[in-house]
Amino acid sequence: MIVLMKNEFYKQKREWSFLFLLLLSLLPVLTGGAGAIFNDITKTLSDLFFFMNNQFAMFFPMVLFILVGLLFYQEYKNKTYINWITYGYPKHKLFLTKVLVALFIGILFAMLLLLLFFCLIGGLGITGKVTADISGLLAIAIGFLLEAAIIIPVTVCAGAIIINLSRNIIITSVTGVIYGFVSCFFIGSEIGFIVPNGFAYRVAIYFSDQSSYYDAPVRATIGGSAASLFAFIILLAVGAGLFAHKKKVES
Amino acid sequence: MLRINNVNLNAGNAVLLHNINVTLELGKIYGVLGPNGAGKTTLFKSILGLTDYTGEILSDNQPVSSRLFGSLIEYPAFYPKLTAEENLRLHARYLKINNPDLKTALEQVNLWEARNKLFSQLSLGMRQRLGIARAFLGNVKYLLLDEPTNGLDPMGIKEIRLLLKERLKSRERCILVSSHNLTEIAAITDCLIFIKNGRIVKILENSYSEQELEIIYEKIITSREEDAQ
Repeated sequence: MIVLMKNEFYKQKREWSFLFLLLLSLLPVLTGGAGAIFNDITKTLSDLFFFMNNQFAMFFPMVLFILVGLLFYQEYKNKTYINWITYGYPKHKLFLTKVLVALFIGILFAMLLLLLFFCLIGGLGITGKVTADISGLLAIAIGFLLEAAIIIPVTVCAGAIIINLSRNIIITSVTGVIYGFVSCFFIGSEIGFIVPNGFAYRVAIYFSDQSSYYDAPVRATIGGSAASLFAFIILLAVGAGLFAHKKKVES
Repeated sequence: MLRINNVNLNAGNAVLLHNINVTLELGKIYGVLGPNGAGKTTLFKSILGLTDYTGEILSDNQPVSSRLFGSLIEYPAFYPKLTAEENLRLHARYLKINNPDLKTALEQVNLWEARNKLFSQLSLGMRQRLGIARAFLGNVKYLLLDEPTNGLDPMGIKEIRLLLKERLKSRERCILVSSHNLTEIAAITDCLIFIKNGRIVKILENSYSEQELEIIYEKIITSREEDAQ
């Protein structure tokens, strides 16, 4: 598995599209930062996180769809798919490798986003535009990383299914945009915890503003965690099953 | 020895391969000849385990593994942003070949000088040769080359012919080359397998003159399967 993962990273040599994706995933902080710097208004740490997290919840699923899409699309576009599946490795293992690589890069992107956000807070703190303490930053970090830990696996698996069904990066990207927007519809709903991305958002915000969590917190936490885990397992199994299914003639 | 026994493949109502029976020996180059859509690529894909065929394909009486094969199917597919050498290195890593002799492999196909060029910068002839270099990397037992001279100019075709006959042919290896071009394949192979509508219609030792082969091929192409058999 490690050899397969190393090979996947090797294939990405000189693939600058991943840098573009990184830039895209950092946009929430860049736009939030620009707004905070150029509008001469003092904001709280929660306000800034709220702004950044809204955009993250909406756009990051799209980034993840494109990310996992590009990893698989590379084989379809270059027509290396046939070679790739005849090296003698089980197909579900090949699928899992790409998914793991997408998870790894997705987590890296999310951590870089958080790091950039903290840099922004630091910069704004020096100029007196925002006040932040360590406990506040720690709470945001925990909330955001929990959100990423829910969003990334589920979304990557969903994206992997779409790219392997469509073999088309445009369809995958557009589905990612729709997926991100539709997920956001469930953020405000009291039963929205059944949708992993909606649940993840509320979890993240809870750590900076506890009043914004669900009215029935225990039910939502247990239900949301179970639904997210269930969605991940189902999507992973469906994705691997579809990919490993032997076609009449592979092409 | 590669034995293909009663291999059949249908997709819906279409018969892609019908009752394929053939035994291929090491040390020989076999030419699989047939018009476009005859089933050459599908046969190669079946040998590689890329189709859901019925029947059996055995190597020395054991079920085949794709690792026994080096292949160039349809077109030389590589990662365009990796260099020629990096693409071969990646292939070797997948096959877990320790210290692959990439230099020899690239020299055999006259690509050592171009080893640092990105795949996207290679000409079609260079790409085909790189595809062949990849196919025989790791000293594979069977080499499947599907239309390896596709799109090549006469010099390129000659290079591939010399490469196959003078450098790659060995007693420990069996080479299958497909083509729809009789002249080209007759110059390379020891044995000819004629395929039409997914069926093997004739197997011939390549001991005929080009003109005789042309007559045989024409007869096969224009006749009904039963007549040809």
